[in-house]
Amino acid sequence: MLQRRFTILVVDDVVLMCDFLYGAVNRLANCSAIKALDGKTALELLETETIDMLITDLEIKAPDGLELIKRVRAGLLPTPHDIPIIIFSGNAYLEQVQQGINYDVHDFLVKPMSIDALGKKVSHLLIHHKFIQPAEHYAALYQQEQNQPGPATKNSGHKVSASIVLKEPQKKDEYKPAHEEVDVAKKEADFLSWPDNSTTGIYQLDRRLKKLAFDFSCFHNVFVKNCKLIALETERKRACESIDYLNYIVKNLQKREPRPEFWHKFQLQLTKLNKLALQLQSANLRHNSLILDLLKKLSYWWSQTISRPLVQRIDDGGGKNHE
Amino acid sequence: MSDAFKDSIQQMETLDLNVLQSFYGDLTDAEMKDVLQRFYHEAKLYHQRLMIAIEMQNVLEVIQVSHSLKSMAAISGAEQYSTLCMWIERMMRADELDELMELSLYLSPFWQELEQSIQAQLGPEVPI
Repeated sequence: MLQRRFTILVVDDVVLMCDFLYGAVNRLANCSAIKALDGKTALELLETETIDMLITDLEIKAPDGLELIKRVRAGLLPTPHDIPIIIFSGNAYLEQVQQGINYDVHDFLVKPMSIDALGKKVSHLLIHHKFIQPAEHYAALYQQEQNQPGPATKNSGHKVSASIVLKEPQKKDEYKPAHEEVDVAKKEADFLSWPDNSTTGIYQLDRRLKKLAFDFSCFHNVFVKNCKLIALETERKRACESIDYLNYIVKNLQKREPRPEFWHKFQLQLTKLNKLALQLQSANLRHNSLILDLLKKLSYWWSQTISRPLVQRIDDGGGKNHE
Repeated sequence: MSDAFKDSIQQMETLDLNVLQSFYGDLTDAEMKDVLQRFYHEAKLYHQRLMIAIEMQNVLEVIQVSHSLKSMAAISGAEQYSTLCMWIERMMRADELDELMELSLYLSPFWQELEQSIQAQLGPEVPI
């Protein structure tokens, strides 16, 4: 039985889910919930109210759930830094879980979950205290993430990278010149670029290669601008995901597009790329010369890949080499 | 999509109030109707957003909206619609546009069925 009253802040951008959490908490003896539908409201509540526990979704309007957690743990808010924190999210990606662990989140719950089960978790965590490091520990971690090289803010390319996909045509046979898709990014992202009016002959593969070029260009930009380590880390993740997607797409496309000779050559390139991806994944991002070397190799890989016979001009029937 | 998937999703309950009760705990009839109404009104907007996002092939929007719909439909007992949204999110994340397009064909009919089931539960005196 809980001995005093607890105020629990629940945060979720879906009203129904937020109300669900709110209802779950208010059912518990000696607990009262306050709710927020976005990070900004949650932050205001954390600054003005006495909060004993935070239950938050991760994907909410800025600041997102992880950012809220980091600010609490780092002691940047009036709320005690060691309150129990529960992540309540629809997906549990490894990186998010890892971040949760770094900031000593008490639990990571995956939706959907019953009110009863949630209530039991909350009651348990209010009674059983977990050791939380001093705020300075998390502040240093947070500071480290914030202060590492450069300004690559969340806005520096992420949303742009998404918008590229939005502009794509729906049908495979409606070819859209590559420059239309990368125009938005060109100002900043020209490390790897897709040659105009070119194709592998497979629309989906073109699309994925363009995305790969864009993601690596973002990574390159963040690197050369000495951006913050967390930004570089984010771009590295995005670039590696792009390679994963490429592998996945190739696997599927091979079944649909019977071009053995083409796939044999493409697979050779893909194998080289996967090796580079492994190096990139494990590279120390503070090791500039290592990253630079990797980028050079990637650039070389790209120039080999977007050449004939894999990629050809549309308008000249494959008569020109792109290099 | 595989025939097995089509068969399994077709056989799922459109609206299972036992599932809703299991997530929310014991609800009175009035509380249950209130939950269903709130689910319907919020999910309807998300459903419309999802249809547009798929039409526009707006990758992030499809992922975000199907992700939200998946959870809210799951706790409301809309098993079939929730599963469909889960697959849409999964296919979009995997960049499987062909599969996504095939799945999207189910969206409107499943939503209409769900709408009818909710209306049936609410009764004619509570038009949604």
